[in-house]
Amino acid sequence: MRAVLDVNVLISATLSARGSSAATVRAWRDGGFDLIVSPKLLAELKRAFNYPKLRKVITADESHQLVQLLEREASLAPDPDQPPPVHSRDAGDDYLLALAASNDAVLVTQDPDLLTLREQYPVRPPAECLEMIRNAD
Amino acid sequence: MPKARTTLTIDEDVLRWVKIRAARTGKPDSAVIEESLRRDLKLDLFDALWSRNDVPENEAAALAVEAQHRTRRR
Repeated sequence: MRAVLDVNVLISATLSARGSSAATVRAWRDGGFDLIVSPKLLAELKRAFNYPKLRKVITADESHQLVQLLEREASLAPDPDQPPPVHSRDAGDDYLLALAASNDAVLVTQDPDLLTLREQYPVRPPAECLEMIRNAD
Repeated sequence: MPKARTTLTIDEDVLRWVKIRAARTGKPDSAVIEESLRRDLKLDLFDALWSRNDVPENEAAALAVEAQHRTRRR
C-alpha cells in the first residue's frame, strides 16, 4: 500500500504520542506501507514547523531531523505536473491530491476540506488508514 | 527492547573503525553498530518527541491544520 501523509498528519504525529497520526507514522516505520513525499510537500512541512505555536513543542533541530528522515527514508516522488483528479475547496490542497493520484496512493489527512472528497478519491483520516494497513496484512 | 542475533557482511575498514570505537568507549561492537544505526535512522527522534508531547489528538489535529494553512504560500 502507498500513502501520502498530509503535512498536518506528519505534524500531529509529533504532537500526540497516543493519536492515530502517531500510530500511522509508527506503521510506516514498521514497514506497513510505502510513504510518498515530494519536494513541495517537504517544503510545506518545513514552513509549517516554523509556525510559532509549533516552535514551543518541537525544536528547530528536531523538525530538521524529521525532514531529513523523510528525505532519506520515504519514497521521494517528483512534484506532479498533472492536475488533480478532483479539486479541493482550498486550491492549496490540490497538489496533495495530484501527488497521491500520480503515485496511485491513498491521501491521509485531517483537513476537513480534503475529507469531503472521500467519495471521489481515496482520502482517509489516519484512523481509517490504520484500518487499511491492518486489512492489507 | 528484546535483542535479536543477526549476521552482517560489512567492509573490513568499517569493522576496524567499529572495533576502534568500541575499544575507546568500552562498549561491545554490537552496541557501537546499534548506536550508529539508531542515530542514522533517527529512531530516537519520535521516541523523544512522544515522551514529551502528549497533546490531545483533536487539539493536535487542529493545531497542525492551522500551522499548515497559516504558513502556506498562496
